[in-house]
Formats: sequence, structure tokens, C-alpha cells
Amino acid sequence: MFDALSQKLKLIQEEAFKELSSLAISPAINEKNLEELKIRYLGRNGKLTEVLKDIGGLSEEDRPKIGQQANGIKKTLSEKINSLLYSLKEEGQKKEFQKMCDTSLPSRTLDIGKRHPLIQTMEEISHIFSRYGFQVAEGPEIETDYYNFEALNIPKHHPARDMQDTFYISEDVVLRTHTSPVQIHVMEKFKPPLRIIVPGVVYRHDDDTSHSPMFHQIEGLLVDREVSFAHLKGILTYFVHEIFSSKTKVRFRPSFFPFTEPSAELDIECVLCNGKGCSVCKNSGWLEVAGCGMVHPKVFEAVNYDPQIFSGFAFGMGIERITMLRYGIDNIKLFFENDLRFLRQF
Amino acid sequence: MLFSAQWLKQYIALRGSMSVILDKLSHLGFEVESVRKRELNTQFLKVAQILESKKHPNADRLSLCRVKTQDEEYRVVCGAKNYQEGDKVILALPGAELAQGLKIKESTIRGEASQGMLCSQTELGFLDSSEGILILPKEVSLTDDIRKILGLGNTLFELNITPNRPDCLSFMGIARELSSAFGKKVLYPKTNIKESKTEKIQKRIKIYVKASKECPRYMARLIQGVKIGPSPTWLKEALESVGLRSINNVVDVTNFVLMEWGQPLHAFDVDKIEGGVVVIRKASSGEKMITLDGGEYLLTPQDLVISDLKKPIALAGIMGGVTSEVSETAVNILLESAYFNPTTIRKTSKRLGLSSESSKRFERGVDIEGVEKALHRAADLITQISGGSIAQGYSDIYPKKFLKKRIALSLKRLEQYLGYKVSSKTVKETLGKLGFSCISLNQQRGIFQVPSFRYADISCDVDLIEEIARSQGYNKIPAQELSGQSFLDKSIERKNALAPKIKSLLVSSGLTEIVNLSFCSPQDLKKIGYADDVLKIQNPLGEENSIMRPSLVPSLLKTCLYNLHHGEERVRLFELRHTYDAKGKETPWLGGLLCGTRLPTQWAISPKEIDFYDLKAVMVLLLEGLHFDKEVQFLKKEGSRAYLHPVWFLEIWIKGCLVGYFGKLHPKTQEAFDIEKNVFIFEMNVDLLEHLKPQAIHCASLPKFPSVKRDLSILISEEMSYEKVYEVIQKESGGIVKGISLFDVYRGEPIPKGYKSFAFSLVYQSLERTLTDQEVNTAHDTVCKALVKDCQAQIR
Repeated sequence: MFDALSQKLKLIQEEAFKELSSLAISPAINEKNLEELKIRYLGRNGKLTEVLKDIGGLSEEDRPKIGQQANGIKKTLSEKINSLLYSLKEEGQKKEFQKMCDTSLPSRTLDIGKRHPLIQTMEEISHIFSRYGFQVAEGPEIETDYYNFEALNIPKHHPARDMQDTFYISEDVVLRTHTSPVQIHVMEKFKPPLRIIVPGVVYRHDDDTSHSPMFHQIEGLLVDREVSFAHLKGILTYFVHEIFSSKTKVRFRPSFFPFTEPSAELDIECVLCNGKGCSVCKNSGWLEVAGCGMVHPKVFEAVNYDPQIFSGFAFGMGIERITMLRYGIDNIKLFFENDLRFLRQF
Repeated sequence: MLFSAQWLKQYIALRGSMSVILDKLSHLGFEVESVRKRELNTQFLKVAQILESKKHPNADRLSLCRVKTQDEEYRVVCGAKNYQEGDKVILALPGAELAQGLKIKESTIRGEASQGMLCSQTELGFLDSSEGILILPKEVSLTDDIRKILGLGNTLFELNITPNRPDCLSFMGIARELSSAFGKKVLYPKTNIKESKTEKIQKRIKIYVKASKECPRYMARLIQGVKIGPSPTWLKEALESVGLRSINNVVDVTNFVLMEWGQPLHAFDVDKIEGGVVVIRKASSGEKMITLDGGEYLLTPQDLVISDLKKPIALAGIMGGVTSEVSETAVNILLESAYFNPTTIRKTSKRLGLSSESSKRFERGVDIEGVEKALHRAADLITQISGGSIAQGYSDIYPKKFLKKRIALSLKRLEQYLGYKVSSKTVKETLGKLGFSCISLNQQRGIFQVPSFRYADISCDVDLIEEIARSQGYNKIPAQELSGQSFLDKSIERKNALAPKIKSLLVSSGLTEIVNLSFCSPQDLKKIGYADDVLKIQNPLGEENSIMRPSLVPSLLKTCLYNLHHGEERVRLFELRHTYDAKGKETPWLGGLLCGTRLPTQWAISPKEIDFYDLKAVMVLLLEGLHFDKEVQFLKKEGSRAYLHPVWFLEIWIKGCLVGYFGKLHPKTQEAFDIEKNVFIFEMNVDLLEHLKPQAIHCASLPKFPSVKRDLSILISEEMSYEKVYEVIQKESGGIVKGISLFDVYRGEPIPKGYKSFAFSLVYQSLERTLTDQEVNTAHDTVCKALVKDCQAQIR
């Protein structure tokens, strides 16, 4: 019985290897007929299993021997088949790799929108000042004459009002001409020390090639004890270096704003000509980017701060101008036309 | 204000280049707006005299002129008409290069040879436009230096004088500033008044100030026997160099002194003043007057006038009246120099919309002590130029002298403000150079007297600090690192905390952020059927910008149209900005739209027009991204908005609040805005979203047991909505359906008309254990039966 079974297994082994060898050299070899062969010999109803059905008639000692023999056949046969399968795959891949692949075809297009450059710049500036503890504050665009002018030391019938052409809703209500009224709102509510940064929309009755009736400003205010103009210079210099480049030169020039004294304009070296003089900087080599100064005592008086105890500085700048300088945009109208060909560049 | 360097140098001896001077001025706070050097190559330019002028034989409008220079005679063809034989002109010879690239060559014009050209001011580059050729003054000789005649080498520059510095709206003011900077003395002009021994001003004219609050000081002089005529060349040229027109020798002097001292003056023809009196009073209600510019104005008691016995003869501080104008026939002149209340002048000037060189200075505040100097200076110049004699005495009505202004300055505060120490000696010197005299000074504090020409600007210690900082140069202030505590108050909450999230979600859905002006027009609101009250601007830039927009929809549609017109095939936009209601309340609002193909044009995907469900996808992505997904309901409860399609729309409800709408644009609105493609549009109240606060995220544990997937295909009536089917599946599955996804909707063969087929993939899963086949089959059967019963579905 044992010998007969062993003999049968041997025959199956010989037959299987013979068949496999002829298949291996045949051009018809493929994954499918290899798998078929495997199933025919090693599958659930394969020839090998068929033979092993009779294993029950063997003695306790012989059974493992036949089992061992059968496993040996199974192992060598499947190894051989697997290695043939593997080389078939390899060959297939090789052929695949030799095919022409035009990787130069354009990509599929995923769709993503863009953020408006003005809003991007505004957020970036807020972020720069937040590193020094300036907190974002906001206020209404539709403002009273008091907050927009009077509390900021711009009385009615004062020529300084001509610096800001105003849109009126009624005699006493205006579209704010600057973000500065937010200074007053915040100081009325909170006691010093305070540091705020105020981004926002402002309006001026002005519409020509270089002005838009609506534009954006960002305003900063710091009030504390012993604040000096030197601090103002420090933070604005830092700001310029962050938003333009660490090599950009700055200068401060005396100016006039009713709500600051001393007042200054912040100029940067022209970013387009590097100070050599061009049409954008009117050949001066410098560009005006912000107005600033020490908070006027009259403004402190309007909000019941004691100007003998507290001092502070304020600064404000036009977002459009900064954005134009950063990206070399030559026309302010582009920001509000919303031409996708323009917006897609940011 | 426009300044001429040549004129300025009469008051201060400045050497060195103009660029140094201009740089200094900008560092003193006077921004240089423009610089123009008057320069020309004069190699081929000659002073010439017209000897003879004949009509061109072949052209009616041209003349043939014979002209002579110092050396030679030339024949030129000329098109101008404003000259006479004997006039002296500028001749450009072949080779000359003039303004705007004009090159002169010898030529033949209509058959007549022309050996050059007679030049106009425009051709010389002096003016942007001019009529006729430049006629030189009679006293010019052919041998004179042409550069001098043409004023070449002079630099004209415009300074931006801030409203706090009326004193610097004058040559003297700028000379004083430069004197402080360069340490050179100001060269004040000398006046030499010779009064008549016989004629007295009081005899001829009586002056009464009946409004001394509005007119704190009024001075006048009488000049008799003047001869009105054209001004001398130097005066004409000086005025023209700063952009003023020459009128006659008397008016020109008043303007010259105005520019020199910043003190406006006015000259009246005394013989036209009725009753021999001049009264400074408030206008009576309904009074009218015609000013020199020909305008007729209706006055109110707020306006200040100079009047004679019967009528106003000048609008005080703003403009003279026609009736007493100094014209060619004038012989006797009353010269006025005054200080008017700035607010009075400004109110009238604003109300009448009438502004002048005078009103600009009065409303900012002139130097009350300088009124006198200017009067004498002008009287002196008038008699020098126009003859006549100055009557004895002058009128000076100055009842209440201005108080002298003294300001105390603490040196400690100065140091604390500027961040560097300034010695008391430097303080005294610096302020002294600017005209502030020191009353007392020690190591702690000083008291300084403000010069009268700075009264308008200087009122407290910080003003002195600015003067010192400015004079020392802002460069001297160190840049100091900011330290100290930051200000973080939680009650300053950002209004739009959601805005950044909304924006990034929409950008990743392919929408681009736009920014439109906050204005809109009544017509646009009509087009979207907006009927509520609106916030109107009193003084808008045109009707199309007259309303503060209560809705973002019109600007979105216009932006869409703009881009379609510029060749865009797909437009996807959003805007998150304020809207404004009639009461001026501002609400952050989100609006957006999709138009055109679903995906950008590309080779691997065939283009498809977008539909309602593309828009819905964006809405779902946005609301899920904001973590509102569990609470959002898309309903049709209140009905569509007028601009939306009556069927293809949905309302967005969160926790029982209607927060927005989305849908297809109504065909009528689409037509009203001229948009040819379908538009899908949405809007949401961001303020409401902000208040509704998104759900907190609770992270669920991942399922430990396997899921079973079963497909289900049903046939149902077109009348049956997906929502109903979904609800039935959800309800009847015994709580073990964890996923319902609709993977196909099919209509057409072999489905009968009026029906559709839905194919679902259902995922069954329990969080507690592995489901048995039995359990899944029972649940699936229950679902199928319920669909048959409740939805009249056929299981396929």
C-alpha cells in the first residue's frame, strides 16, 4: 500500500514536471495556463489531492512519510510555477516599459480659486504686527462726523477736512474716510496699555486714474507709558523689512495730520528703481507708503486719557499702494474690475 | 503751491545745487511734488525783430515775414496773427531742437522759402498751450542775452503745503524755513513810503468795521493818481512763473505781495465806491453780488462783505466785486490788507463753492501782525510802478490785539517723546532759528514765545516738540525695538472669525475671491427685484454709485458678465463683504456664483455645462467644512428670491434659521443682466452663521467589526423624491445601515416613461459585533418591502 502510493506520487511528480517543462519552452505559455496547471495538480480537486485521499489506509508510521513526500512535491512544483509566473510578469513589464509614453501631454486640470491680492496683503500685514502683540480690531464703515473727524482733532470748518473728500449719508453721517475712527471706539472702551491693528474699507469722494472712491487702509495704534517716536520708527522699519525686503531703506519725513503730533510720512527707497529715480517715484528715488506720528494730546482728551501720563503712536497706510508696489501693479482700477486674468496671478 | 527758485533767491542767498535745497525742504516737511527746470539749447535761437510782414501769396492764413537778428536778415513763413511790424520775437534757425521733439529745417511752404520759425511759448516748452507767437517786451534789444530774456536756468517747483502751514503759502515763509536750515539770513524787502503832505486818507474815505469778530483787523491805504497799464516785464514774468495771469500794474502788485508775504490784498477803484464809506459787515439776507469772475451770488447773514454806502463791493477775503474793479480807467486806489476770521471765510467759500488764492490763505489763518507789512510793501510797489501818491496816514482798525502765545516745554517730556536727549542749549537755538523767542529756560523746562506767523499751527508743547524734531531731522531719532506687554483683550472679538475658513473652503472649490465697490445703482436693484428701503449717498459719484449695496448679487452678476465678455469660458467667483441696510447697519455677507463648464478645458475630459448639483456640491462642501453639516437643512419653505429660478433653488436652514439661498439664476434676471450662459448663484448671511456657531467636533472611534455591502436597484415614479426614498431606507433598516450611496440615476429604455431607476449601495455595519448574513438579509428585506409599500417602488 505504502509503496503503491509512493509510486503514484512519483509518477504524478514526473508527469507534472514534464508537462511544466514543455509548457515553459512553448510560446503559448501565459499566466492563465500556468494557473490551470497549478490547479490541475495542486488544487482542491487536483491530482495530488486525489492520491492523498487513500492515505487513510496507511499505518500510523507511514502516513507522515507519504505526507512529507506529497508536501515536497507541492513545494517544488509551486516554486517552479511561481518562478515561471514571475519571469512572465517581468517580461510583460519590460515590454510595457518599452512602449512610448508621452509625459509631455498637459496635465489634467484641478480647479482651485485664488484669494484677492488686496485681502492677502491686508492679512499679511495684520499678521506681521500681531507678532508684536497688536490685536485686530474693526469698526463701522458708516460713521458719524464725530468719530471720523471731531474726536480726531479735525473740527468742523477746518481746512484739514479738505485733505479727505467725504461721502455724506446725512449732515452728520459719513462713509468713513480713514480707519482712524476705530482708534476712538477702542480707546473709549478700553484703558491703556493697548495695541491694535485695524484693517478696513474706507471711502473718499475721488475718482480718477490714480484714485478709487473705495479703498483699503490698515491702521495701528499703541498707547502706553513712555512710548516714543523711536519706538514708532523701530516697528515701522521692521514692518517694511518684512513686507518688502530686509534691504529696503526707509526714511521718515515731517508731515501733518491733525490727530498726530509730531507727524511723519514713511518713505521707502523706490522698489522699482532701487532709488535711482523713475517715473513711479517721480525721480525722487523714494516712495511714500504710510503716514504716522505720536497721538495728539487732543485725541487723548477726547477719550479721557491723561496725555501727561500716557503717550502713544499711530500709523496708517493704503493697502492698494503697498500691494501695487509689491507686485508691480500699475493701475489701481485693476483691483476692483475683478478680471480673472488679473486675479489668477496671485 | 508753485515756487520759482529765481524769485525765492531774492529773499535768501542760497548757493549750491537746487537738489540739495529741495531735499532739505522735503526733510523740513514740505513735500516736493514736482520740479521743472526751464532749460533750452539756445545755439540756434536768436532774438529777432519783425521788419515787414506780407500776406503769403498762396495761403490766406499764412504771412511772409522779413526779420532781422543782430547779424543777419531772414525770410520766414508765419501762421500767427498776434504781432505787429517792429515787434521783437524769438527766431529758431535750422538745427534748433524745440519742445516735443520739434526740429527746425529750412523748408518751402506753399512755394515760399522759410529760413526758420518764429516761436510760441508752447514750442519753447514753457507752456502746455499758448496762442500766437511769443512777443518780447519792447525794451529788449537784439544784443541781449537770450538766456536771460527767456529766464532760462530757473527752476520751478511745486511744494505740498500742509493745511497747518499757511505761513508757507508764500516765498517769505519758505525763505524763513530755509534760513533756519542753512543759517542764512532772510533778506526782507525794504519799503520806503513817501506819504503826501496834503491829501489825507480820512478826508476821502471813512472805514467802519461792524463785525469785528469776523474781521479782527482791517487796514487800508489810499493811493491817488495812479496810471493803470501793463506791468513791467519782471513782474509779469514773476507772476507767470508761479502760474498767475498778469492783469494790470496795480492788481499784479497785490498778487505779487500775496505770493511774497502770504497776505491777500485787495485794491478798489475809490471813485466807484459810493458815499465815500467802506463798511465791513455781515451780508443781509437776500443780498446779491457779482464777483470779478462774473459769478452772481445770493448772500446770507453768515457771509462777510465789504460794502459801500449802498451795496457789497467785495466778498470779504474771497473775491472782489465787479462794481469797484480796478480797470484801465481807475486813477485812485484803496488798498486793503486785513485779517478775516478763518471759519467765516471757509463757511462762505464752501457754501458758494468759490475758492481763491485769498480764501485759501484766510481760511488757514494769515499772520495778523503781518497785515501791516504787506500793506506798506504793496503801496510802495504800486507807486514805484504805476506812479501816483500815497495819501497821508492809513486806516488800522484792530480793536482787540491778539494775545501773545507762550508755551512751556518740559525737557524730560521732549526726551521721552523723541527717544533721545536734547540739551537746553540746543532747544533754545533750534527754536530760536524758527522764530520762537525764549522767555525763560533752565535744565528742566523752557517757556517760548510763538511768532505771530505760526499762531494758526502752534498751540501746545507737542507742537514745539515737532518743531525741534523737524529742525534736527527725523533721521536723528533712533529706531528702537518695541518691548512691553501686548494688548490682548478677549472682548475685542473679531467679527468675522469664520471668514478665513469660508474663504479657504471656497478657494479650494475653485472659486476666486473678488472685491467690488460697495456702491450700486437703483436700476441694478430693480433688476434683481430688490424692493426694500436702501441707504443713499447724498453726494454720490453718479447715480450708478448712489446706493450702499444691500445685496452682493448685482455686482456678482456684473463681474460675471465682465469676465464672459473678456473671453472667460468658466467663471467661479465669491465675495465676502459687508451689505448695508437702510438704517446703515452693516452685515457681513457671502455671495458667489458658478457659470460655464464644470471643469477647465482639458484633453482628457469632455467639457460639460454645470448644473444645479455642481452648485449644491459647493454648498455641501462649504457647510461640511464649517462643521454645520449635521444641522443643515435644504428646504423650500419661504419661497424663492425674485432673482432665483422659482423651482431650481433651495433655502439653507441651520437650527431653524434661514441663513441663505442658492439656485439657478431666474431666466428674466439672466436676460436683464445680458448674460447668455446659465448662472448658478448663492448667498449667505455670515453674521448669522457666526452666531449659530458650528458644532464642536467629537471624534468617533473607528468601527472594529467588518461591514457588509449590498446593492439595491429600484424603479419608482418621477414624482417620488430622493429624499423620501432615503428616509425610508434610513428608518426601516433597523439602525444598521451606516452608508447609503446613490450611484446611478437612470431614465429611458427599458424604463417606462414617468419612471426612473435609482441604484444604491448600502453598507450594513454594527459597532458592537460582526453582523451575521441572516441579520443583514432580514434588514435588507425589510428595506425592500418598505420601499415597495411606502414608495411604490419595484425592486429590480
